[in-house]
Amino acid sequence: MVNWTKITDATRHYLKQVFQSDDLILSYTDSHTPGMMTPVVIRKAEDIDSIILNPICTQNLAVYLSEFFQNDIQTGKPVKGKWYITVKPCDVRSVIQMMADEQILKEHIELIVFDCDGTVTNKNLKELFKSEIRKVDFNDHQAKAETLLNEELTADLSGLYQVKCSDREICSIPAVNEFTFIGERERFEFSGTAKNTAIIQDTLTQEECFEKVSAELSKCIRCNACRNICPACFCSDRCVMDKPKLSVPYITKEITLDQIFQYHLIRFYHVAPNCTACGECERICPQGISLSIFYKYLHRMNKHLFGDESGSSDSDRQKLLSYRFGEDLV
Amino acid sequence: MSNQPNHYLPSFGKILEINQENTLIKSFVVSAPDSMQTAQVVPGQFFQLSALGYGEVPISISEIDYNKKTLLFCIANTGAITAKIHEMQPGDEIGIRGPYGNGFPIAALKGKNIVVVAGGIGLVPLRSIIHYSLMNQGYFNYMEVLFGAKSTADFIYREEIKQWRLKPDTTIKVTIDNPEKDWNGNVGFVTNFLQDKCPDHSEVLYNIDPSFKNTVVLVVGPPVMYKNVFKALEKIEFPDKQVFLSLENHMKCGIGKCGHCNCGEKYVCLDGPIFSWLEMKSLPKEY
Amino acid sequence: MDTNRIYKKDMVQVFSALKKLNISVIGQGFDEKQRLVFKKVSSFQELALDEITPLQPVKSFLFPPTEKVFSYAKQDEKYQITPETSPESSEKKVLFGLRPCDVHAIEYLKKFYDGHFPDQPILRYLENTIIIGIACEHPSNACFCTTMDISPISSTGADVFLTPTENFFVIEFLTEKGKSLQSAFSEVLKSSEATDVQWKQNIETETSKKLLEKIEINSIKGQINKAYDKPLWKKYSDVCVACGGCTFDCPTCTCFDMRDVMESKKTGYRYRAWDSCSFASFTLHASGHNPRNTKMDRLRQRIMHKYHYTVTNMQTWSCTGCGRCVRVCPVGINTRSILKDIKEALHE
Repeated sequence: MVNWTKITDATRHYLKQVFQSDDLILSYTDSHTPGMMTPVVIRKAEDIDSIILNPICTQNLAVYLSEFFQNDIQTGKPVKGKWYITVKPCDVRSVIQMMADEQILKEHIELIVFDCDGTVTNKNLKELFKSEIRKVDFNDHQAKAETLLNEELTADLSGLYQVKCSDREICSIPAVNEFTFIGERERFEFSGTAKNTAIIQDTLTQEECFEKVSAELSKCIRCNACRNICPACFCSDRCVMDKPKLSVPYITKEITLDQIFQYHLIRFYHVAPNCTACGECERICPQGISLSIFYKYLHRMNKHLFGDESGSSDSDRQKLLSYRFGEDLV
Repeated sequence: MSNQPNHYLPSFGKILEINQENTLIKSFVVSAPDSMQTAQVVPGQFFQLSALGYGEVPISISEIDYNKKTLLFCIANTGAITAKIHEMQPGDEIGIRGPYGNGFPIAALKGKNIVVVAGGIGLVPLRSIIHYSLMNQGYFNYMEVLFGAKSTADFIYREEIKQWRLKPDTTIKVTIDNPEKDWNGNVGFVTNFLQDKCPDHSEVLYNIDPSFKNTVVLVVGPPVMYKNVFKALEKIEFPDKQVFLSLENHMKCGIGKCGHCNCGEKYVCLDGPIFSWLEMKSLPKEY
Repeated sequence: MDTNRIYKKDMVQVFSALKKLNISVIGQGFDEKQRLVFKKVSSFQELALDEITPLQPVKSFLFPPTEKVFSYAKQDEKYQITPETSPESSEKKVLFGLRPCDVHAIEYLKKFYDGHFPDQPILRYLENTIIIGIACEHPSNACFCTTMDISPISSTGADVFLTPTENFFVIEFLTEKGKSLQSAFSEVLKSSEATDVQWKQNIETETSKKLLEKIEINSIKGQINKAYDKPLWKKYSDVCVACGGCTFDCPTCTCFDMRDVMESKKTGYRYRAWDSCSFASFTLHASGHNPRNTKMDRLRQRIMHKYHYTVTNMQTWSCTGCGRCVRVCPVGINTRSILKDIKEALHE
């Protein structure tokens, strides 16, 4: 079981030792939103103490890496220092996949992997406490919360981890990259239990499947949140969905079911080879759409059809991909 | 409330004549829709032109013929929609909404010395005010047009410029950014006319009236040019109230609702597109 | 003020009376996947008034995420334009049990879409909408209405206002529009008792206890633009992923995009769809120049627009403190914290 105070202290301690000017740290800190952490970019050694690690560090920080590098390419300023990124075991794959896709330069990145029993979203917490909370603290599997009326509540987290945390495969760290591990064990083992959902494509007929997916997608408001949070969606401002062009007249910005379908299908087929099933798109959907119906299926089909497992190697080009670093048209 | 007219519906004008100004720019003479009050159109205002099926673009008015009820638009082929407008032929119908925006403060410009500073296709919206001075002889005290283009290939309105030169109380100066073989005229940025770097004239503004009291500068060009013009004017302490420019932010609705052109507390389509330099100073640099 | 009581058990009759009047009711309830949303309800039981507000704002019923503006057809080289009016826009509807924050948001929309060039399609929706507000007993942990000068019991902007108690509502008919509904309630209206004036006050006291600490920002009202060049923005824009969630779920965000679709050589339509100032494409010129080129510019624009530009233009914050932006933000950017930081930066 993870002692979060120890993990946080050990991470801060390590970073203080290695940090030099020009370096940059991507980590988590308090967001002042109850039940939520916020990513933080640290550029000064004295800010290292703001780092906090706990089971609500849900965000996948890999998404920021490609953006920073693109910034550097655009401004023509080469990356000077080292970039330290604190990641959960599940997010390691996203970073490794970005290295394989030549979206980031591996010699500049140092991975700091911290031990984790599973993460909970603020939605999970709400289900757990059945009340709006003002504040929450964690230790081991225990969460201690304060309600809006300052009543104290404690609860056990182990039954409430995110759906993706039930997938042992996602948690295992691919043995390809050097990294620093913060935790008590070298071998990571998942100790929590979480609700599991099957891939619906397995159990339904084509028609049933279409109906179910339509029902989910009809909620979509095409805000683009799932695209923008996705570490595998690195076309950034060049996305074909942003500026409907005359050369692709079938893409419009309308929020009708066919356009919604088109958006999600294009997106998921684009990211199929490099989606590491981190589940961020599903977590952040403001409409609560279960996007796992797509990514879980594609992730598995990619493995099944091409033998590719995204995020398992930092140098092998995925078979579905064939572009190069710095290329204009991704 | 809802018995008000729906401002999003375009009317239609007929394209009467098309002229190729240079490789990038065509000018279109369009008959105004019957429902439009052309008498109220002011130089500096803009219209939303539609190529139906492709979209709508804001285009400044270049000339208004109040008698014939025709409008002249000069359109650069820079995007998908303008490309479609370029494919149109005389006799075609074009969707049109407007006029929108504030336009130049014509009343306040009466009797002034007008210095027009145009960079490239920035001359397009300024043509409306030059045309206004041709139509209203003596309305302005004096007019000087400073026009800078990248190269001779980027010139527009060659014929019109010749005519403008014939007009009394009007001076036209043209410059190109880099020297060219058969070009004997000025070379350098148009902003040089406002400083003493210009080889054949120095400090246009001082020459007109060293007190600047009765002089107004109207400037339209790309955003970088504004920066340089302001720098030059700042140096000679030209009053900021007497400088007007036109912003060209991205626009969709033209009536202050869609939010695209919002810059500071101003909506370019409603409060602009013409702003004084004084107003610009209070706006964030988001243009 | 005339107040009455209406018992919750009698609401069945009110709902069937509204149905007879051909008025549809929209309120907060659960959808088939147990998600809290605003939806059309057919009975009082379907409403979930004891929950916090749904994440998705009610504005989608007044300003749909996508709507056709007009369709066109070309015949003999001439265009024929047909304005598209969706049947929903002229349908009479009641927004039942809107919290004061959301009622204020609709007030803001009304003010914004009116003006020099009224937005006729949206105003038609608003015209046919009757708002039944309710005093707020269930704030979320992201709410900050009091910071935005809105009391959890404010009835401003509502046509009818309810104050909930355990068994009944204290009901006030405030406007002409609200009074037009009186007939639907008349059979079950009970006279109120002298003590009923107390209920509202009680709710205010109780709800205030639940709300997070109020940030006093009236002292910086009208001066927030002075924070434009302060370093605070970087902290937030560093981690913002520009997902647009905060703008799509904001009840007072009004921006939209307009585009054309060609259906055949001669027919097509123009539609509008919600747009967001968080997207780079929002201000991108055809030339490639972008006035708000960085995420920082865009994040600052959203904050400045809500807390400064509309204060200058319309003398009101365009934020009601409903907390949806805080709840939706996937990376934990907290608007309250930004306001706090602005205040600190200005007092330095």
